Amino acid sequence: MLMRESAGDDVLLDVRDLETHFFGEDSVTRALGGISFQVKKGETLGIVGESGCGKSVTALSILRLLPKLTAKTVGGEIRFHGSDLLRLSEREMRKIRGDQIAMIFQEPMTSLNPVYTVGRQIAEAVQIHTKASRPVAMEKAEEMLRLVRIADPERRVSNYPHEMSGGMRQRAMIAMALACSPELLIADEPTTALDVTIQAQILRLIVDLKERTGTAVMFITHDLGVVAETCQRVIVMYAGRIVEQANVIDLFARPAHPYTQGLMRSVPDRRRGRQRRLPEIPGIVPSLREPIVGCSFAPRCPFAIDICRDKTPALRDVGSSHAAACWRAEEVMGA
Amino acid sequence: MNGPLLKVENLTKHYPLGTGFLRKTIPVIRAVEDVSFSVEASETLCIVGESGCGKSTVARLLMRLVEPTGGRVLIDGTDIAGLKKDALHAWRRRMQMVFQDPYSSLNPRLTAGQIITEPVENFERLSRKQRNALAADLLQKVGMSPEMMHRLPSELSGGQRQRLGIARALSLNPSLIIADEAVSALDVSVQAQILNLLLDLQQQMGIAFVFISHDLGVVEHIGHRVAVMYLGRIVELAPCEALFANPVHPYTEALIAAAPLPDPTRVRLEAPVEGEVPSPINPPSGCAFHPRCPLAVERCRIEVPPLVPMADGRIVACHVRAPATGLPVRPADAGDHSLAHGSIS
Repeated sequence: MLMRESAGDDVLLDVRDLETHFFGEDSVTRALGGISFQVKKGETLGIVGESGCGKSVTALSILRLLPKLTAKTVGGEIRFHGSDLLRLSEREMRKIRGDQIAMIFQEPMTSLNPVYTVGRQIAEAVQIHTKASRPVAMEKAEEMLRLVRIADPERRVSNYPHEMSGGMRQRAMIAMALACSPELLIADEPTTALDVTIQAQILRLIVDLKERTGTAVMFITHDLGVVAETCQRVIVMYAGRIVEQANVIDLFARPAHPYTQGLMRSVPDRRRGRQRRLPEIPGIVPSLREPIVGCSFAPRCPFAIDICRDKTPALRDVGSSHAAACWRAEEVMGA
Repeated sequence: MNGPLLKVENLTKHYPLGTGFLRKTIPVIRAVEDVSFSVEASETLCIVGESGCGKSTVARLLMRLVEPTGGRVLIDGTDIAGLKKDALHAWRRRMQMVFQDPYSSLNPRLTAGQIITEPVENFERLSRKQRNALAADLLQKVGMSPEMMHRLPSELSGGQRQRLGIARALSLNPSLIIADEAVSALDVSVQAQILNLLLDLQQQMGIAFVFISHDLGVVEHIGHRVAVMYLGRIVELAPCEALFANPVHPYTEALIAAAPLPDPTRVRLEAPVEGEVPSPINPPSGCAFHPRCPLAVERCRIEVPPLVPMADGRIVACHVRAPATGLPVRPADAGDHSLAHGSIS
């Protein structure tokens, strides 16, 4: 097994210079422009950003679930237990998916099979990865439904997905994802389609289960409130790149990238007064079809100076375990 | 004109489930049940609630896109249900709607200019010159450059499309705009731009809004008064600041407590409210919230609580917190009630 010097013992997943492109008829969209980050054992890492920033593509690239015809990871490596996920055969990858790395999606209805009972689907996942017999796996399914606090699990195992509410389906998805005790759970906007009271229940559930099972969670969301409530460390993405990385307290207390700062200020907040104009981020996200010169946020950035338009800033340390890709991060933090 | 711009009285909408052939009783979905409120000129009334609470049905009833089962909608004192062709046509100029999805609510084959001037052309013929002048004026009002009038929706961003939806609503100089989840599909940075636009328009043109949303942060930011709906009924209607500072109905309290805040230092003490919204086909007896309510008493299971006016001008439907007889009970510990917490004690 290859041992690498820089990754400490507590690193579970080590992503380096990951580059994913989408191929159109006459264009290439650089959805991920070379991102590097690590997920530590047992931590909750948030990935935030707005539509098109590459947060979901990151998740799909890690699990190699990108649409085969139109997208391809063209560079980088994803180190997991000493091997590079990008170099595994499809067969080897299938052993990892659902077993060591599991994923839950925004809309559980589209990821559950409508013609099988929920119990059978969970049992199937258990059987594939543990070679358990069907009765044992069904028992495990029931136990998992109890774990995710679905009332009356004895009866619910024989429910079809359409017989459950949205919140219950998301619980069932989580039960399925955790059935094989994965080391990493990737949750892509798992509460976005849910009502707030149900969202609060599901967030609480994910946090509780993470603490009980020690599973690391990669939490992808557009919602800064959700990040603040669930994550320990946060990565902020913009236009296919990581622009800031910090622990959650520092990120909210002293954002070091103008985009992070702009994002936080544009959320309505009772503490800053009602009925007032919100600070806007002017302009729109750049097209990733054209190569971007300089910092991709420069055209919208109130801090931009000449160097920002010429040279792309690399992610650099601006504090202890706080990094930002901005030439003027120190001034931004002071502002 | 005296009196409120919009007055809604006992509005009710039941949707029958199938036909009653060979069945004695047809089950109905009670989408909206006995809803009353009013909106003054230049006021923003927000309606909040979770899926299935009936807030979007209220919007459709206000626009007369569906016919009510009972109750009345009055605009400037005139019942819109009685309006026939011409009068209805004229009234539609006063009320316009902005939809959630700026992708599906714009005709993809029309240019931006055609989209936003189309409502006016329903009423009067415009010369090409007039049309262009109107389009340019409307685009500027919503913060877009007049050159955009030749673009197709597919060539615009989500935020620009929502601006078009607003420009189209503004084209007839309405007194009231119904916005149904108008910023819900937008990214936060774009959402801020659109919220600012709505605030500006209200200030400049005195437009009243019925703003329907599930996002409490947004509602708190732009609302003057807020109606909280649960399973087809209003459970609390209060001035915005009072509602968020001191929610009285246990559901309002639960809703506010459940909303995630962008503050990692906040410690959540209370467990989230349990259970899920029941089906509107067979709603719980009495107060519809009682199966999830930590305060529920026997009476809540039997009697639907009436909306009771409280001392600070709000109305609340709760047997425990706002009993119909005797003095209304104020929630305890109002003194150290932090804005961020709506703890159910």
